[in-house]
Amino acid sequence: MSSLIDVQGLLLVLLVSFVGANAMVGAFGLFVVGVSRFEETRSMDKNGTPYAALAALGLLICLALLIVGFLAMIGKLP
Amino acid sequence: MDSSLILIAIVVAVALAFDFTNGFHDTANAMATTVATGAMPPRVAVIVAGALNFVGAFLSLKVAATIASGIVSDNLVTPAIVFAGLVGAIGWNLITWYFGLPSSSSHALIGGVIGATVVAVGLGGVNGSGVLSKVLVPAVFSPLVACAVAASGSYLAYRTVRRVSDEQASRDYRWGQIGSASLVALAHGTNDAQKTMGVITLALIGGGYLSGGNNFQVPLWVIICAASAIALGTAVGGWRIIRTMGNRITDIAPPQGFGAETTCAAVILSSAAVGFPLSTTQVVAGGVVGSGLGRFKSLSSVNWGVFGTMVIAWLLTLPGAALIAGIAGLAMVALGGAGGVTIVLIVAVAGSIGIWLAAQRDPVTPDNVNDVSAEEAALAGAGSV
Repeated sequence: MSSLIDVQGLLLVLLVSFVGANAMVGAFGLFVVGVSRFEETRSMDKNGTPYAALAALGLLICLALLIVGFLAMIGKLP
Repeated sequence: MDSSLILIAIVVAVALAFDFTNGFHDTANAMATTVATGAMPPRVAVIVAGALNFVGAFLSLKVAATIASGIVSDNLVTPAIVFAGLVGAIGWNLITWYFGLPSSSSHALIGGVIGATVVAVGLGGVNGSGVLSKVLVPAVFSPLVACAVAASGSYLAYRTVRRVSDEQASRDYRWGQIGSASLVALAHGTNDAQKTMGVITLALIGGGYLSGGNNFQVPLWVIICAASAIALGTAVGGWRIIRTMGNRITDIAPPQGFGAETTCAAVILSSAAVGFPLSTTQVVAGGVVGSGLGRFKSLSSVNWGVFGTMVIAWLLTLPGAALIAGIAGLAMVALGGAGGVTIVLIVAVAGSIGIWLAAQRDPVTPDNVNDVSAEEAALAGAGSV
């Protein structure tokens, strides 16, 4: 039965997709939180730079993950 | 023109027709949640998905000759078997589209080829362990893996932005949804257009119009035709299935839709990288269910009746497509030669038109795709939060 089910492949898919999906969702969440707080602080005439940096960091991680996804799609991952 | 060339031409045309049905059957995979949350207007969503499917078809050709490989004996597959298999797959795709049921086009194609092979050469032509390991086992695990990952993804999405206003979160996540859904559309074009390229290439090799071997090249015209057919099908939009996937399983909000589509992209791409054959449709369906569970943290947030009907359709896909293809194969054997192929083709076209006309009695269009009854909306968890 084990020869019919690629257990290792299945576990790898579960692990990689779990990490990849949650990293993307978490990073986009940082972006949303950063943008939201930036707008709030700006409306109160305070320095919103840290929140802008948080949003930029989230966006950069998302873009990096998108590039990894694209490389996986075209079969160019190492 | 000799009869073998006519048969190859018919196989190519029917393969492109299958590609078209594959496109509109699977538009929901990428765009159902995007349409449901209003991240993109319905017509724009399907056009974007169509364009990305077209581009995706050019990105990779690594599985272009593997359709049905390891499931039926490669050396027994003839253009006639491929033709009957395609008729079975198209028939099953149209029947499930009529009922608004997302089912795997790949499984339909494999089922069709199995049915036609059994009729042509008997059960000995089918590799049972190949069917189990490449179709049945992945069919069980696809929705489970996607459901588990999507549940965590949706939970995390809501957890991360719990102190952000709903209005702001919805606005930003709609943009995120466009990105994640576009990635799924691109991946779909990369994976699914190759099936048609593989079928056409096999028919050309079988007919002696292309040299085979390990270093064969998929002709450019085949790539362009397959990419165009799946893109056109996607751009037409299988609205009946989009309604089911986007509105009838669970109530979808932008953060949840983003979680679902991101999860599906991650599962599809990681399975492609690892070489584990998962069905895109089943991954997305499992992802939508998981996103509902992750958002509401309640089993009652999913319309299990609709999901159960989908599971039954998945179970019936292989035997259903095989049955239609088997009947087509038997008719071709009984009628014989080019006449048999022509009559099966005419019946298949008439049947397809009949299903389309039947669907027009209760049409689902871009204008009413998000309309579901209050009872169904409640069953899908609408208004729970």
